[in-house]
Amino acid sequence: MAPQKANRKQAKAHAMKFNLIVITNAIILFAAAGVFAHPLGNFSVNQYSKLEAGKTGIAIRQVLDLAEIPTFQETPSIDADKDGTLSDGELRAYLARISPAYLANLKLWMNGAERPIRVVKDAILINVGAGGLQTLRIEWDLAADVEPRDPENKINFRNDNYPERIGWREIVVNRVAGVEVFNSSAFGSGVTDELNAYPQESLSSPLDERAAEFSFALGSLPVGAKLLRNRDGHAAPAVQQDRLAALISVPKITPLIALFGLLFAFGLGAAHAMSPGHGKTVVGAYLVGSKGTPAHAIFLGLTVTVTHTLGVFALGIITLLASNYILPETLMPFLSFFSGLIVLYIGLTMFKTRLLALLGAAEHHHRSHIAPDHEHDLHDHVPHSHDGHSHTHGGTTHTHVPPENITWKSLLALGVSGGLLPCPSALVLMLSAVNLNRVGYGLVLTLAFSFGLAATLTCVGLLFLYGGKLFDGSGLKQNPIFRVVPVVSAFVIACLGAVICYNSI
Amino acid sequence: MKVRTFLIILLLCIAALGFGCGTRSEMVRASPSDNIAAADTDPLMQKAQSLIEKSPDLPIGYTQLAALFAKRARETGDFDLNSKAETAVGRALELDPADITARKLQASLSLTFHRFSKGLELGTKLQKDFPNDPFVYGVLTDANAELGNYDQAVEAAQKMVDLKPSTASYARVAHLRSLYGDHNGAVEMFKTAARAADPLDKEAQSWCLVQLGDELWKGGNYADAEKVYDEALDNLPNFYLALAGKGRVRAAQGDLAGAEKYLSDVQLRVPNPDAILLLAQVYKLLGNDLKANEQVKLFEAIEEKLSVIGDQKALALFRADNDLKLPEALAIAEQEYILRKDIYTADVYAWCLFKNGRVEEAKKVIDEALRLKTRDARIMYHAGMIDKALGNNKSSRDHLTAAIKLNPAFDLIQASKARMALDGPAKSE
Amino acid sequence: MKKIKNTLRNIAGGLTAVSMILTLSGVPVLASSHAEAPMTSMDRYADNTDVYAFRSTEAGRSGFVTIISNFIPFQDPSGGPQFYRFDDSVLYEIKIDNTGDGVPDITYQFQFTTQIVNPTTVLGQNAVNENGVISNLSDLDYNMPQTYSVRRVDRQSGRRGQLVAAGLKMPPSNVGPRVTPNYETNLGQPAIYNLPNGGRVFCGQRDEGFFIDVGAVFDGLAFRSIAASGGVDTLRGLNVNTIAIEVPIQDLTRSRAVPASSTSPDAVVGIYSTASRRATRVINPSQVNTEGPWRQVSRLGNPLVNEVVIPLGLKDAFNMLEPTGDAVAVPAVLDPELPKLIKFIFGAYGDFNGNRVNIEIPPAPRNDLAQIFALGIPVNAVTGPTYTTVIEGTNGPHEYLRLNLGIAPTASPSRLGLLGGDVAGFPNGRRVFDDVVDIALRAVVGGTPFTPTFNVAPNNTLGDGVSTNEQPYLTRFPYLAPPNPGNTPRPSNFPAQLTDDEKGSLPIVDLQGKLVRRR
Repeated sequence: MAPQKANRKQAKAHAMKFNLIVITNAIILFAAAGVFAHPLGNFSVNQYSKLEAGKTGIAIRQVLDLAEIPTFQETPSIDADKDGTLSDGELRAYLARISPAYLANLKLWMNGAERPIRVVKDAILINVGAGGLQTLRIEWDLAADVEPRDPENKINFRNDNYPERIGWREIVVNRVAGVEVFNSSAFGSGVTDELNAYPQESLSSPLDERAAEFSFALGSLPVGAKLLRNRDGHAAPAVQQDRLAALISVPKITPLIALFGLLFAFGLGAAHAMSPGHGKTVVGAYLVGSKGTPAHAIFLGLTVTVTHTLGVFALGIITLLASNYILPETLMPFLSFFSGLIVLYIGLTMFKTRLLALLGAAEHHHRSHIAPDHEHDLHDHVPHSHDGHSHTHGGTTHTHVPPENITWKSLLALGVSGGLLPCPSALVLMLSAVNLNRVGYGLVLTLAFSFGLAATLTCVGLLFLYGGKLFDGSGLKQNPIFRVVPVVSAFVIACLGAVICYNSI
Repeated sequence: MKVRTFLIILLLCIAALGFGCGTRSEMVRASPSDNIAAADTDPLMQKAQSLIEKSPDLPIGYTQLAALFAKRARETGDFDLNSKAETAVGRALELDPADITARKLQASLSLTFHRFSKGLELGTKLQKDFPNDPFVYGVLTDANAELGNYDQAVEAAQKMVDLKPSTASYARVAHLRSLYGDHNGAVEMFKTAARAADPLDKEAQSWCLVQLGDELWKGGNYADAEKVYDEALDNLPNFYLALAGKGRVRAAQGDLAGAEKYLSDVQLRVPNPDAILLLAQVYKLLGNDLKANEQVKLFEAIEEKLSVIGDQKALALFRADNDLKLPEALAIAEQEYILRKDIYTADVYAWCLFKNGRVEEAKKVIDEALRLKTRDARIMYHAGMIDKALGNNKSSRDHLTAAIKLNPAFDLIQASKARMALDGPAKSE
Repeated sequence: MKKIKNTLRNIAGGLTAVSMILTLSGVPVLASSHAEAPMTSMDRYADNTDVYAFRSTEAGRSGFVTIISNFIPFQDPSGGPQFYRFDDSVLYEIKIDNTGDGVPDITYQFQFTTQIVNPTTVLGQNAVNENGVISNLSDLDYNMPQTYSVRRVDRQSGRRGQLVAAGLKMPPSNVGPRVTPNYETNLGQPAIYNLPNGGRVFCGQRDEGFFIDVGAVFDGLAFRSIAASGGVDTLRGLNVNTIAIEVPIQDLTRSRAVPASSTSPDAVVGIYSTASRRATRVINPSQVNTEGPWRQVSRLGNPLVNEVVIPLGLKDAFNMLEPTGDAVAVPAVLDPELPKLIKFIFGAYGDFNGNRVNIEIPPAPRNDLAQIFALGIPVNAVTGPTYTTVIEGTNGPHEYLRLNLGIAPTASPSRLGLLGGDVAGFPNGRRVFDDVVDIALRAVVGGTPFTPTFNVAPNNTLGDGVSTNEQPYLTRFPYLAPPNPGNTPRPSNFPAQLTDDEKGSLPIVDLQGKLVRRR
């Protein structure tokens, strides 16, 4: 693959990843200040460098984050065809043009001799900031090839870019396992997560770290060396991977946390199955009415799990692929607005119905078992619309009409239909995992979630089977919480819709 | 469905847990205090922060920090630091709503954020409690002047300078003299203010010099203005306000290349709407329509998207000057005019009324803008044009002549329109 | 966990924000072009930091009194070539009350004029020709010289000021050996002028002669050391502008004669210094003379009076007050906050080493402090029949340095003055080497013979750990050491630079001895 093409792909992947973050965050964290304005003032130019000394060289993670006004000032020189939008190609061309000058102002010396810095990988992204203005973020992964000597290698680093601009300047030095870093003027920990999360409401001045020096050794620490410290004063731990070896550093998940996550996902899946939808009552009634066996119930649960999991994976993959063909940044505002409208509409409608239902609880109570299936439809529409594919899933309908006799085939059909429409929560989980470079973990979590879902369904089936007529199908809905919570959630949904619409314009 | 929202939250927590445990995303808090994310290098900031650490329930550390942030915002032009100052003052007031230092800072920060009515309100309360505190009268002077209550502003400034002559009070006296048309008195007082400023506070000194330069520029004394800006720059290199002033006098003297150099420099430091518009004019006169257009767009983006309603008269003026979206310009100006009755707001409102064909009303409002007899060429130009449209030829000629004589390059484009209006055929009476 | 909490908080905040979203309002994103005038700017030109007054100790000058008043503190010599002048628009005055009524009887007025060689500059800070060498006061390379005049106002002989001297030269600041080589020989000593009455005068830059460990004393809530050594002179390496005048003793007394003894009625005089600026008419329709009357913006007599006894709310007012109005400050002197604060800090936080110390302090009313600061120490108080700082016939509390002109300088002085058994030192006037910080600290907690019950350790061992200046004082006029040259490295312990308006109020201590906020 030609390097240019590779870069392009990476940038796209980055852009896509970024937009997924934006999309999910728009739903979830719509109140985060970052959506409205650059947290550091809208004419700041912010820079971040992370230096990592490894056995074969120095890896530098360099991030440049331009707030609204500097981005606007740069826009004319990016927008080559003057069509008012910044295309992927234009952004790449701009990056290619400014990179050399920018990188020339990054200086690295080892033992007093200046070392050239080469680009391993770069990416340029556009985000939406205050007043609908854009902000620009450029990320470089850089490397300087050095041959460490014993016992000590002294590194000096300077960033002379934008010396006069207001902004956050952060330099971090990382310690790779097997390498000792000492006598460092910079800290071993960052503050902003690579300019992704500026401290809010902070009462300290913006960081102004323009240069750093440190020493490293492959062998043991020299006598009297001062260990690399984190900003809290503690010794900086070694990072697990050499960034040259694996540029995307995936934070470590301890087995305990992984297990906790899995259990949690399982529980959530189970809880989710308790929510209206998923045809539990129907499943139960079906099994009871058709004199099914426990084997039937378990088979049904498994089918749901498999279908559901596959559905989430498929959707995730479609989402990822689609964003390769349609520029997410052009699509995003429309999608957000559209989906916002839908959410708003749904929320208001539901709010109305549910409120009415709640107010006239007694007489309408029997209608409530109809509502879940309506909800289920909406349920599936909403979040999918954010990735632009709601239409592909739209018209699918459940077949909840119980057949006369149980056949394995009809069970399979029922299971598939129950699981075919993957619930959006699972999808969000999956996409978040992708965002966080944890695809594998995400898949496992999704699986656990599906199992939880299936377990509940199976249990419900079994309960119906063994509980017989003692357990009325609508019994689950007698709990008052199940009546009030829907009204509140409908209101929240309506608010969400309004916010999403607002943000997209 | 109802579980969904909750579910998403929880799912995100899982992600956060997994994410947060890596070294990559460590959000380290350097200080035990929750407010302080990273240690400051400035010893004064450190001191204030350590005071907060030591006595988190006392306002003193917060007020010191607020004062330092406000000071640094002035020095660097980083307006965002004022927000930090406000946060700190907020904490101090939470701890002790009566803390005098916090209350004073709160009042002056209100003015910094252009919440003039709020500033006036806070200042008036402070005056009741501390009738002999010069600081309080500074707040009252500024708030009243910005709201157009000039008599009250003069009264407050007089009280301030009687209580304590100082740079702070001298600069306010000078500003009011300038508003009241006493150009020479203003120049003298700005000089006194500059000389009285703390020799170790370069920003205070250079700020006074820039005000002096601006006053000289208003009087058409470009050469002296430039010398003063130069001195301000010598004293505080790259001071963005002085660079902007320097660009403006260069443009006024016809040195467009020089103007471009200084104004572009400002752009790279602290972009300022006035300087951006001026740079657009300079590019236009240099024949570079493309770059002129870029600056105009930048100006519009800042004014339309980032500024606050009721604080957009620069946008209204720009639109009126260029006959763009005139009804909208009028609406903007009107909105601001409802909030404050200072002469500059009245001037822009009158100009927008005029451009929208409401000349009779424009005349009434421009008379308000002229009420202090301020020697401001732009107001005079507007008055001249309005009089011309009304057929008051004599008065129109007087105003236009005075404007051009006072500050021949008050605006690179409008000044030539003023000249054309003088030379062109007068409307028959 | 923090991240989760933040996330949850964001979400919760988000939900409540929903309803406000449509009325979302911002802040002005860019500083407006009409940035407001500075609200607080330190008036360093008029900032009177120290007043010294003592019988001259230089050989052959026993008939004279030296009075020194310092302005423009915290001059950092490493801050580049900069000339620190006095402000031409400030009236600097040294005032002597020899009748005890709070009204100055003798006033020495100093007014400065910058000889503007380059009339286009406003500040003239950049006028030094860095390539030139300034080898004497008339050197052409000294191209922005400042001259001054001295007037003497005598209340008895009418109010008109009598011109004592004019056209005297201010030496340039000590820029460094390249521009101002052999500073003291070439420029410092030649700037000492003889006056017609036999006295001398000097105005110019000096080393900051005040020594204090700011961190140990008044820096927030950080009293540092209780020991007699180990402190760091925070002001080391800094310069200050000095006005020093030496006059014959009889020029200051009400009898116009040298006092016969230390107890004769004309022996004690009150000495303080002020700086004034002119008010002005804001708007003057006729635009003629808008020059208003002089307003006193700074006043100083006793050292540390602002820090020790004047509460924050009164500081501005006190600076504008004449000694005739000092009665308003008396309650603060009789019941000062500082000792309570010291007691609390040492009890709660401990000293520099973290050792908690219990200090018992004298109860109000603190007549001992009132005597030191405002009334004078009467004969036989604890000091025997020949010591007094009371001006005979005094009519009320007046805060100024009280100097008994009938007490001769001692050959073996103590830095602790009276507390060290040296009657010629503070609070009898103040010599340049008097350790007023240690004295004041001990005095406020009662560690003096005036409050015998409390004159015990640790009260009478309190101090900041700095006992003398980092530069040796001169043994001759003007007594303060030559200024630090411009190539001195920047002092590391640079002190606070906030105005009183910005510093905020120190907390106070309530009746239970707990720290509370000031109301």
